[in-house]
Amino acid sequence: MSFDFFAVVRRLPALCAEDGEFQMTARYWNGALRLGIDGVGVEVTIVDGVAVATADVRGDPEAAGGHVGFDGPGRLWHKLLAPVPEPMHNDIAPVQYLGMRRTGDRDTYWQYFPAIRRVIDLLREEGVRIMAREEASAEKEQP
Amino acid sequence: MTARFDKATGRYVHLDILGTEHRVYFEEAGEGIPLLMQHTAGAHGAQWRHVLEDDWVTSHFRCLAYDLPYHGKSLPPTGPKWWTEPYDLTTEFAMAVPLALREALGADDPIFMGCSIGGLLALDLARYHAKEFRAVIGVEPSLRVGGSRRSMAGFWHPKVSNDFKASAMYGLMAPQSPEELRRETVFVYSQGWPPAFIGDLHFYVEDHDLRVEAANIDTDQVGVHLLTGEYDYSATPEHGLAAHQAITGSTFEVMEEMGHFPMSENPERFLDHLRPILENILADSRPV
Repeated sequence: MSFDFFAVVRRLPALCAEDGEFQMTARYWNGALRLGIDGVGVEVTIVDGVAVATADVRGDPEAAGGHVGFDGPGRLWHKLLAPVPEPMHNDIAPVQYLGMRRTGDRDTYWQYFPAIRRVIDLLREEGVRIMAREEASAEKEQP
Repeated sequence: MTARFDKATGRYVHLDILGTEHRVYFEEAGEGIPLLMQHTAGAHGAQWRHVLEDDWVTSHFRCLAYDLPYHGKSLPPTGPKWWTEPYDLTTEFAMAVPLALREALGADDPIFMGCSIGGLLALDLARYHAKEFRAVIGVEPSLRVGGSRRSMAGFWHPKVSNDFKASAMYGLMAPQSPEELRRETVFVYSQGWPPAFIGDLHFYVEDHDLRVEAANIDTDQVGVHLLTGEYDYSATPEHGLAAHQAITGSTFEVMEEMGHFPMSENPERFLDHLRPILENILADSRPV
């Protein structure tokens, strides 16, 4: 992952606002999605299915309804968000067997799995765009 | 304007399955050696639509893709009060369906091909009904998946919609498979009777166990061919390999860049793996 994971997570309100699939699958969601690396994370606040704000946080989210999170080592996020992920690393479900820890409320995870799954896609797609831009600017800078 | 039709035609047949009459829907295309096709848990026979349309397959095989009772167009039986008790698919019932179809449709000496629960079922049929089938093709097979349905409560929970299980299937497919076909596979999953998927998982994770009996499968009597998608994190390539190693004379291949639903997520590539198996069966075929 040669992009700043937390910077991309902070972009989620903008990314989700432009994504029809997220908007449909996140309908009626009130709560938050927290994504972290080794206990340090960014929490995305969701109001009526709209990702409205982000905040830098530490630790696990509350276990109350509407709140869910994922915390894992950076290398696992790196593999999950790879442009073409390897087997066992292509989805938020199997990486939970490999060290990604689900936090927060279990029922919210089930209810909003389609939206969470889409968030992973959005992070991956944004990461690919960032890497492509960096590659292009590096090529330009070459004499 | 001339209408364009698919090759497959659909019909219902009334079957006696373990003493109860079931009206079972199946789609049929092609002529030749009968090829019975079983869908995955909680889904229905539409997953095989691409195989049913393949020119080479249908020029040599009579393809029969059925919906298990309680799935797709195979409605529950009239008579039993099925709504008063949990639906749990058993090995006995799962085996009885293709056996009854074989009899009713005059599908003598058929091939059985199934995926996921169907891949497990292929091995059960090879073990316990070798005389009735010339070969089985287990797609995403396993001798024993194991696990507990208690941890899978979200697949049928009053607080959780059918969207959860449908969306969860997306990650079982390979990222290289065409997006529109992955979405179609998810769509099929969203259509099921809410308890059907978790009920089918009774067979998938709890009832099916061939770890001891696999060694007694006689591949001189029934050919056993195993195919596993590289991205399948449920019935993994390791599961397929273990089955292959336990069944002397079986064939096994890991299908790269494919997942748990090869026939529907990437049919073109799946058919590239399937055709050589069918060609071998044809070469060995006894008169129909």
